[in-house]
Amino acid sequence: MQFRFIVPVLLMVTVFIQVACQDGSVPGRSGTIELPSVSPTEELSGWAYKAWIGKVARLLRNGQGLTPADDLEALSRLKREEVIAHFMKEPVFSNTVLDFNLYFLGLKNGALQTEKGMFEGQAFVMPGAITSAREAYSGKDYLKLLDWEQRLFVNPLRKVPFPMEGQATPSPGAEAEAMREQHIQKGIASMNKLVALAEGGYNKNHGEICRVMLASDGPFNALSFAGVPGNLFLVLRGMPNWFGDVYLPCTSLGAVYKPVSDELAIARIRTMRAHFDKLVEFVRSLNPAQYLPATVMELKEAPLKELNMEGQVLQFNRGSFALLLNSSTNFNRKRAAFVFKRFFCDDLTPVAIESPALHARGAHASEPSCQACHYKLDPMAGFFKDLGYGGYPFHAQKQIMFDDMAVTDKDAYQSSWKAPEGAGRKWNIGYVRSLQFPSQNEYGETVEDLFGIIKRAPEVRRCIVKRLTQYVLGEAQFVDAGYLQYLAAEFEKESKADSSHAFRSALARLLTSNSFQQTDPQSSVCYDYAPGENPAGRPPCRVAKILENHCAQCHSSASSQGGLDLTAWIANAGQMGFKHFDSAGAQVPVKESFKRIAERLEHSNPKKRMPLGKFMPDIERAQLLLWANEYLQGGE
Amino acid sequence: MATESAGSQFHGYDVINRNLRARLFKTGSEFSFGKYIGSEQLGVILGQYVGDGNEMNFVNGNPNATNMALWHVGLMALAKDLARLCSSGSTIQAEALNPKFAAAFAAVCDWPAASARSDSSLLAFWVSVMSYDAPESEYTAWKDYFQAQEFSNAGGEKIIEGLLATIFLNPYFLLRA
Amino acid sequence: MNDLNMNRREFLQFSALGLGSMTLPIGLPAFASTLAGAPKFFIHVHLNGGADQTYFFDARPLEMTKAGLLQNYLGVEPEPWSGSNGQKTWVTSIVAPLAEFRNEMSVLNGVVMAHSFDGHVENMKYMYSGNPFGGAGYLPFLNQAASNNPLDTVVQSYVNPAIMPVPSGVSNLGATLTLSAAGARSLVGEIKNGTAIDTANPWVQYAQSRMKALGSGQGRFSLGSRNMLNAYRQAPRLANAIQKIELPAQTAENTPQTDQFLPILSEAFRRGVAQSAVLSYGDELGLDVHAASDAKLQKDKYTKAVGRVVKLLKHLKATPIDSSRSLFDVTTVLVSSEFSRTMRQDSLPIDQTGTDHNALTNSVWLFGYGIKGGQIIGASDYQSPNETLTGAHKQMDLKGLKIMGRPFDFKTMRPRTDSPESFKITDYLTFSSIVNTIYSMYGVPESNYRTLGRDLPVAPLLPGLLKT
Repeated sequence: MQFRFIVPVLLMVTVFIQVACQDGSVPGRSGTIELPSVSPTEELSGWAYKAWIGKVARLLRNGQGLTPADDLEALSRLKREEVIAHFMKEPVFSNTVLDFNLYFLGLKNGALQTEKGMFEGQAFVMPGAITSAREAYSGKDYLKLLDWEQRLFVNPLRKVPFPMEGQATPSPGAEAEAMREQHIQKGIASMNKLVALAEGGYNKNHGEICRVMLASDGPFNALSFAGVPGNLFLVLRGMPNWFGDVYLPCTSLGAVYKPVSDELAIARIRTMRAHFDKLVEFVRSLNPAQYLPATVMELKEAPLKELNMEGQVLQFNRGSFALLLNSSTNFNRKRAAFVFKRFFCDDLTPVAIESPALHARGAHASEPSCQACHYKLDPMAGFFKDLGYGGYPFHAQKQIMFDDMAVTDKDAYQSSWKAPEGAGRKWNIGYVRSLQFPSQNEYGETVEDLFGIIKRAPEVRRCIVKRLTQYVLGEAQFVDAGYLQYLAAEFEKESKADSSHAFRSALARLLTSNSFQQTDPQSSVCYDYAPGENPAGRPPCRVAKILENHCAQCHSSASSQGGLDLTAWIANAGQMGFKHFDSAGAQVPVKESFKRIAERLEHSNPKKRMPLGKFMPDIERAQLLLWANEYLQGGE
Repeated sequence: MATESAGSQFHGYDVINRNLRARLFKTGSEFSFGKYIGSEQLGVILGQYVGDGNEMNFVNGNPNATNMALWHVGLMALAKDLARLCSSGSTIQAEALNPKFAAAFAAVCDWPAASARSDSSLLAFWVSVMSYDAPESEYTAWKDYFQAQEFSNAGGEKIIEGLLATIFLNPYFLLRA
Repeated sequence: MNDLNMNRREFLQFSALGLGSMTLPIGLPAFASTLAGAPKFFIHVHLNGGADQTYFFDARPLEMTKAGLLQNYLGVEPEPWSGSNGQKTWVTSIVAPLAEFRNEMSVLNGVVMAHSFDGHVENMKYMYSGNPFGGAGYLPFLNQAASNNPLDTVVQSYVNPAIMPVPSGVSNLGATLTLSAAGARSLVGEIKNGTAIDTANPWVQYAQSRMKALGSGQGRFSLGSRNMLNAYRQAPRLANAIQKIELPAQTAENTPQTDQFLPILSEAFRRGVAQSAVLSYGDELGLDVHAASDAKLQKDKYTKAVGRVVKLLKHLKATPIDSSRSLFDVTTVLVSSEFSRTMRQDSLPIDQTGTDHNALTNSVWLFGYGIKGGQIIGASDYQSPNETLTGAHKQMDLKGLKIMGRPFDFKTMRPRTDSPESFKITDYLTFSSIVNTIYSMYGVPESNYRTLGRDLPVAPLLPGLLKT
């Protein structure tokens, strides 16, 4: 065959990835990434090398892959690191980062762009996904993904506005634009009417003010009909501000958000009037005739300063809370479970805890079996204690309304999270890693505190790397726990200096891994190991590193407490298992050995629970247990 | 060694739709594979992410009788529609094709001319549709099949339908690794 | 536009653009040619949202309301209802339209769901899979046994992701599609009008030969290729069955989805396309009545729900499967919610209260094929204000807001009269026992039977529930 290009096999490959400017152009080499290959990658040449390039292109171009416009012959003359750098320079790479961020947040849903220039609605549900994608492409702070306060980027207006009652759907083009302008004018007229009504006596005219406010041609609804992207209003409606101050008393929340004095109300409506004009100006700039963003880098940012909305665009907003409904009986557990699953990669696999009595509390589950999750779920849920219906803040209210519209006394509701006497803190709210080792825990009170924890918790950065591995290699592929730890450690180290570099570097490592270039990968085979790792004779890769980190000190060939060596994986009566001798020196049958291991991992008595007297993260404990149970049932 | 419990899943509607658009049509094309399966709404049957933050899954990614029937219906219809460009009656405008694919396509329309059946024509055609997603051995098997005596007198339209259908329905085209 | 005035139900409806849905496990139609033999179909009607069973077949006298224990917005004394097995219960006027099916239905009261969880999703996962964390759904097992043709493993899909009749944690739902009526029409139309899957077509033959060749390895891609080949070989049978479907005339746009679906569903059954279905009859009714304003509308909501069930049953009866039998004769219909509701909310006046979730009791109605009709099986407690509750009840219901299933004797099929001091799930009638009993009727291997929990025994069968 004519494709005979050989890529030298290097044990240590250094990858240089150029850092692009914010506008998408590529400067000279303004930053480099030193990327040691973690395991000797297989030689690729000719057709196979082109196949690898195509696979890389598909991932870094958010699914598109090579196109006829690519000079594949030229690309195939580049080294692998140069190929990766080539694709990361393209603005469409920002779409890949966004796609991954949505995957990380559990929001990935169909194609990223539903039609030309329109991004999938879920891309805007948690604004950090977009902010972070732009940062990663621009060589800035990828970890803005984890910030509480965010920037706001928006889609273009709908190509065709929604018709109001009695109107037919317009054709795209002039007819659609005429209807759009008609709607905008109706909104402006309604806004003027609101001011006049308020000046005539807000409380006297409250009913009429609300009718105008909520009517189809009310100021904001009219803009919605004109095709304003939903996320702009979701943010506006997310909290009390110049919009919410006037809007909320007109809604179901009026029972809690009471109307105010005439004087204050008139001032609020005048403020709204002033900001409305700026909003309309921004809305006009989103017309799809001029604005059709192909990549994340082209998305327009809302002028929060001009709109007096600085600090009001938050990671959790009306859109995200619509997905995390909280009933009056749920006590924010759904929201807490989301945080665990998405930011900490903790699926809340039940693992019996050390001492249920320590944490059992009335409103929260008090059964030991429930405590396996609730000891950490409930304190996490407490971060949301002030956020009621739709995520609206109820800090200043005496009552709180939930998504099921039930209303209750806020103090009574929040008492569930009060810390016990002598706890040294007001609230039992926090990220609880362990009951046995309280020093491992981090406490706080508000969602802002939670995001502070998320931003600094090493578990979250490990979770990003784990999800990235799944995103690149597929969820079915086993990855050696040591390799994953290595990737996470590198990311942790590099992100302290430059998180976008760390992100791109982690991605590049995965793209150059042996796993990525397999054409018929076997799920249970680990193809990559951390530098210096020798997998020969080790327990299965899925758990070997966890055992080594938490168990091998007492259960190795040097010190096999209880006759158990968790570093030796041997054949025993036709089955693979650990070297495990009973007191008489006979090998314990594999099934019995696994049963004992599982029991000790789950034991609720701290004197028997393994590892003895040592902290072991729940996620790793659950991983071991899951594996042991699968093994007992005939897996692996 | 454990037996594989879960095989590769389909790339799904979105990826295949995008691949078809990018490889066969000009940049900026409005092509949608949804047209060939009746509705983009049915794309979920061919594999699609469904996620709401709380739960996220790639659904219908494993081959089953329903999604294979729909892949068959849609991809065969697309292959036929494209093949009609060799004669007439296609709903696709020839100008909408991207130049590389159009050139490869035009060369094979002349089937059974020797130039159409040549290695270079078939390689150009294969790469323009499959890219390098399949190993060389897969291309060779495909080329050998169509260069066999059986098709030495077939017409261009019929052959193009076959060339496309057999690439579209190849596991390397539809499945993730 | 005014999203603040939407409640959860309205929000979901809004998100869903008003589309209802039906989960339609597409069984491979091995039995298509044997319809004259003994076809068995199964329909699970899910009253989604949590329906208060005291408004149906497990009612309470008004003295409970007068004592401030149980909201009752009907305000009418219930009627006694005796089962053919000698068991009695109280029923409300809401279930009167079901009286005509009295001899063809059995009601199970006091059914315990996922007792440790109060969430919709966890209880739905439990209902479908036997595990509040999710797992293998029960419907595909019925299909496998009935068709003797193993389904492939495909997780559930949603044409409309905003409404999820079966939560996504329930895996293994075979080739299961969730389709709106319009989606079903579209799919049927496409397959009827598209290129037939002709196995003599050289392109099909070549494609299948490559799937076979590429399926010879040991990795994921090889297995995927083998799966693809199997699916492709099975597709013509499915397509041929779909070809025979006669789509009913398009109904008016405002026809309820449930009504639009019935003729499509019966065609899917009759033509051998599907063997079972999940019908979600609750989303648009708003059964999750936490707010007092919603709870006050329960009469209307439940009347509509019962009306839909009756409509389904009548439709099945009116649809022939062969010259002597209707679809009703060969179809088992199970109606259930994911749980019942609390009697009231704490500290609220009894005439101004909504209700919350209660997984400690539930009712399940079973109709049709295989079911020994006329029975009332099981019971729940708190039948009167003065009833002494068991220690087990007090343990599970700290605030005394819930009705709970009574302990159950699986040998006599009657409620027990003893008072367990502490809660043990083995003392109670659970939804898993009902599923296992249906499994036994469908010949599902015992290895698939549900257990009562981790390290607990298999949920006991209810043989008296079935026709002998």
